Amino acid sequence: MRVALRFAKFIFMIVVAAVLIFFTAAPVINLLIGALGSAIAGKTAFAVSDNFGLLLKSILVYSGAALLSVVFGFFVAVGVWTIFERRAVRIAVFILLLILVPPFVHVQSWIYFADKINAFLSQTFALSQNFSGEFAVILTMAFSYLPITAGLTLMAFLSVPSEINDQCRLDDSGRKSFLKVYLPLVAPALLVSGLLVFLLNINDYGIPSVFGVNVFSLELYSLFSANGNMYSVFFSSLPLLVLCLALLVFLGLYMKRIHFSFSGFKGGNPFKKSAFVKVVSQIGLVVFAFFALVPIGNLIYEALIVQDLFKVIAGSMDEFSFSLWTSLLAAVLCLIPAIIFAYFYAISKHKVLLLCLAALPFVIPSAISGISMIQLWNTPILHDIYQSPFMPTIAMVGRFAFIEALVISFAMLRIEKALIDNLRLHYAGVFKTFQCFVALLWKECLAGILIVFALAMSEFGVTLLVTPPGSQTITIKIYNYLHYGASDIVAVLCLAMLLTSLLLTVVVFLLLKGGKVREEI
Amino acid sequence: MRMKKLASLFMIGFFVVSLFGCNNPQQSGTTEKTVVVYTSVDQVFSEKIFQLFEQQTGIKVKAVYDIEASKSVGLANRLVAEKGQPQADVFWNGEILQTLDLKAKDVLAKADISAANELPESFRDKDGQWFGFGGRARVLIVNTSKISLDKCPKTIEELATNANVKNSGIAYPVFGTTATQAAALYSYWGDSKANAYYTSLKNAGIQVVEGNSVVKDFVSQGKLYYGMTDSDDALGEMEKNKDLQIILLDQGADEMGTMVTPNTVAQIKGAPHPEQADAFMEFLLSKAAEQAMVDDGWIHIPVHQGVTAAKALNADNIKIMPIDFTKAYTKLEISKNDMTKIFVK
Repeated sequence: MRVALRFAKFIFMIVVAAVLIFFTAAPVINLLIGALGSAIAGKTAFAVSDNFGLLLKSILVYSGAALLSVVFGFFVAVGVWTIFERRAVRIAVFILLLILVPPFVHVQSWIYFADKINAFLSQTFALSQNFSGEFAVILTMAFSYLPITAGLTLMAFLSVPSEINDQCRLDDSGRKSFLKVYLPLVAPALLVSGLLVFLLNINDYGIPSVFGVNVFSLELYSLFSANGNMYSVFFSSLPLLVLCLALLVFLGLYMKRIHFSFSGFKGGNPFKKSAFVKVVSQIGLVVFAFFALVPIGNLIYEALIVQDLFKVIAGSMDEFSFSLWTSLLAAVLCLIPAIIFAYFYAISKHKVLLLCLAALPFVIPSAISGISMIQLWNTPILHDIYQSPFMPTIAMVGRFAFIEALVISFAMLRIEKALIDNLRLHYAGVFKTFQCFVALLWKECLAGILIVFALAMSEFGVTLLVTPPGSQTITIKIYNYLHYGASDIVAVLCLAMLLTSLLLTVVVFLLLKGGKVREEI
Repeated sequence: MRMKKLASLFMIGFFVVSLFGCNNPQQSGTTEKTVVVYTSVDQVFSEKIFQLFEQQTGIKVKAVYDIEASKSVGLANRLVAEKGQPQADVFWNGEILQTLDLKAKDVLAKADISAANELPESFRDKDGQWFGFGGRARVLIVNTSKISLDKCPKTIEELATNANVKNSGIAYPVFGTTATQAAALYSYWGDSKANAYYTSLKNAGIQVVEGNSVVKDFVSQGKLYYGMTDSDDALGEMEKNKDLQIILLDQGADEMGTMVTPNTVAQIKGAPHPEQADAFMEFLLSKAAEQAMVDDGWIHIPVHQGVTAAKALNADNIKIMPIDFTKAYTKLEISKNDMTKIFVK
């Protein structure tokens, strides 16, 4: 009976894993086969974009934004770690959740804020400077994605092993050991978060085009709008794809050399008395104040205009529920392919290749990815699934499993190889092995789930294409109202989205604290 | 422990409430009649029309809305991708060229709609695959706190030569109604004149921004003195900012008139609910629905006799640009490619 049960569990896990891997890889395979077939049949010319000037400009703008966001994130993380030492874990989660504020809200808030500054300068000093161009793009984008850079960096600070922490506290709690011991330990988190910011934006032209900056992805969308041929857009986007993969190769090589620590949540800040760290933390708090006050302050100011808050929120309950369920389910389901990937990544000799393959669904432009999903799922056999409310979840798993895989893979590398060998030697079935990994990496899993949940909540490129009729995500509703100019309603919906997610996270934390996890902490 | 219990109770409550929130009669197996409508019309306008239709017929509308951020590569491409096994019954489009594109891609079906007989002939497809009705005008929105009306351009050609061109704006002419306008000018003027015109606009330093809504925002905020946008965007913003005015371009005796973009509606080939689709199209093409859309601010130039036009636009006296949209459609790809070369690269 026990053998039969174990066999059933094994089969179940294999089927779930195979299905989830199918979800993530199939749209890409479908796209590649279609593109190749279309090129061979002569329907689509294999024309790679030769607009390298625009590509270079885009790379500079997006890497500038990623770099600035990493610097800001570092300052903020040091600030929170130093000043709110005991509450730093909760604040890290809160910061990560702030990614739920859509980038467009950041853009509008910063434009509004810059206008006020501009008006003050022109009245007081007769100076006037429009907030536009590359500088505006880089600044706004850096702040929009600060939750990722600051959140991950803060978690990395909190995860430094306690023995290193104690050593620093006893031997040298000055600038030197901060820069030479701690900085290398959090460097992978800085790199990963910077890379995430770059990859999340490289296919999006929304923020640059608001500030009048042309980027490569705008050219791709123009092309798609002109000819409607996704294969031609795919070929044109190859330089961008190659660039993203090259970055991942670099990351893969870097990961081989670095021992990445991402667990613990134990360490206090041993550098509290260092003058250098004090300065960095004060700058960090100023940056955090700007980050929090400009968009959230603006949202609260706008929301106060609404007379019937309850009516606005009640009128969007369906969209809230749909988004929450879809995103939550996607974030949790992503764990399965992510842990499988992380396991193979840890033992593989071809890490770089694995990383590139896993990244493909994420780096392909969302509109093309969505169309490919429709082609794949809107077939006689899978039509019922395509029409179901689960389709956006499937799409989100396909799109964001890589993010969770990346976070967990880093963590997996710190698990002692002997432990993994033990798990293989005393193999207790897929289910038990999976449970062991979850127990070892629950904090990283939670961080990954939070990030994917937040990204899924604010995604619209793919969900617009696969959401079943009659359902709508709250983000699509927000974008619709934003276009109409109902910024007060948008503000209420954004705040409600943020508060609901925060509340859910607090409750999950309370539940975890009551269980075994508390003992582990 | 008490906190854990409270947290557990909250989670149970959340599950129950959100499940009620997700409750959908169609998904729970009831036999209510439904029609699936894909629409590129702003949700704030279209959902009111859907509610009216539901009240009158009892047929539930399941809508999929497009968003401006998807840059019109969203819903239309979804319809093409779903062609073999469509979910949609009806496509209600806020403009016309994309509908013609869907016809060319064999996505649309012939529909026999009696309400369409009241429409002018140019608003009915000869194959019965799409129907046009009231539309929006392309207008110049002006911030009069920045520039007086007499210093603004009066024709579309003057946009490129006006002394204040650097303080004026358009949306990227590769998407939405700005792209439709470019294709219309290509068909009206010919390729070389239209190309030269847009090149001169670019060289003169006109500001190119993300979308029509950003044009009206920037004009309203005073960052641009004036800009080209759609009449629904302009009139909506004028209610909030009293410094704003609109100018209808090319209204002189020898001038071509203002471009008006009609709404279009079409039935999807292989629609799962053809009868309900017919009922919805009958409703949407009726005089009453058009009047409701005019009153709500979505349509400003109606096509039905007896429907009162928008007063804010003085729509009864507009000189409309004569456009052969079928010809304009043939210019869409070339104009978009040119616009990409001129404004994006």
